[in-house]
Amino acid sequence: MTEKQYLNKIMKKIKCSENQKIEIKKQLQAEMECHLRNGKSLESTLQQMGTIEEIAESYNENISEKEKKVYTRNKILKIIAPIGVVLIIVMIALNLMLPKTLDIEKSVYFEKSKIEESAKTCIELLNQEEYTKLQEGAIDTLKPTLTKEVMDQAKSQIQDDWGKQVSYGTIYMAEIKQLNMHYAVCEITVVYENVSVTYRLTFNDTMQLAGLYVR
Amino acid sequence: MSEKYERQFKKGILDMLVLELLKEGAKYGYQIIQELKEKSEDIFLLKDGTLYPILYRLENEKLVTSKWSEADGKQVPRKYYEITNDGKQVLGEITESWKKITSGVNKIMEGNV
Repeated sequence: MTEKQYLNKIMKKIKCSENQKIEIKKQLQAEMECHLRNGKSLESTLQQMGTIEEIAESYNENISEKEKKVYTRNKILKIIAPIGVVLIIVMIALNLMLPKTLDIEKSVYFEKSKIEESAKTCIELLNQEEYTKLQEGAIDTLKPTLTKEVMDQAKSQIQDDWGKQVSYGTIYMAEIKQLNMHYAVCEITVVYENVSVTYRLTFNDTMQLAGLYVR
Repeated sequence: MSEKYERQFKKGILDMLVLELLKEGAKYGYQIIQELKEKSEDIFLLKDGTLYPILYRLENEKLVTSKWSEADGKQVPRKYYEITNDGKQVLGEITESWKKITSGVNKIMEGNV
């Protein structure tokens, strides 16, 4: 065992603050250095110092109860603190990830009239099967789904023949904040000759179509 | 068995002996160990690891103060201990108690040993 290993093992067993441990280690180290410089071997020096257990036990016997309590409290804190930090990070992450609904009237990113106009334009393009134009105004990840094939399949799941559009129903809007991104969600019911369809259209803060849901 | 009792007796009076030696002047740990050994004619053979925790406590209780010496050439810095006024007062009290105890013990033991 080296001098360093010997001292470190003692320090691990002593129940006091880190500052006090530094002072204790400094003193024991100085004393060992003295023995070694006076020609004593490491083995004989360690014998003169005492075993790791003897020294640690002796220090712990001489450490006040108050100091021991501080040591125990700090040790518990050392275990609890990282858990607390992880919990806070998880809570912040969840807070960022979970979408938050905001009042569209108070939005600084969106105007109700523009959302309504964009939503109706999208629906008209869908009615006219103008998918290329629809794709031009959509975000990249949505473009592959805005095709005749995909949309026909979606439409057929509601009803094969919708008929012509008759009117628009009620429009609901909200602003959604998620991962620091702002979106406008617009839900609009459209009455066709043979069926009523509800569209949910999502726009990002540059008014690109970011989501489309039909039921 | 006797070793155990001897250790306990010694443990109880080490504070008094250390303070007594420090009354003569500032001393470093190994010097105290050597003086205890010589003056007690090898009755008190202390390991460093036994003395330093005692000095640590005495310092916490403000009965002694300590000061590191400056590094002087090849000489390693040493921690010197000095008795405080509180230490001197406590030493007086412990010595009085010690005298009473030994006197009482002697009275009992002399009749029986």
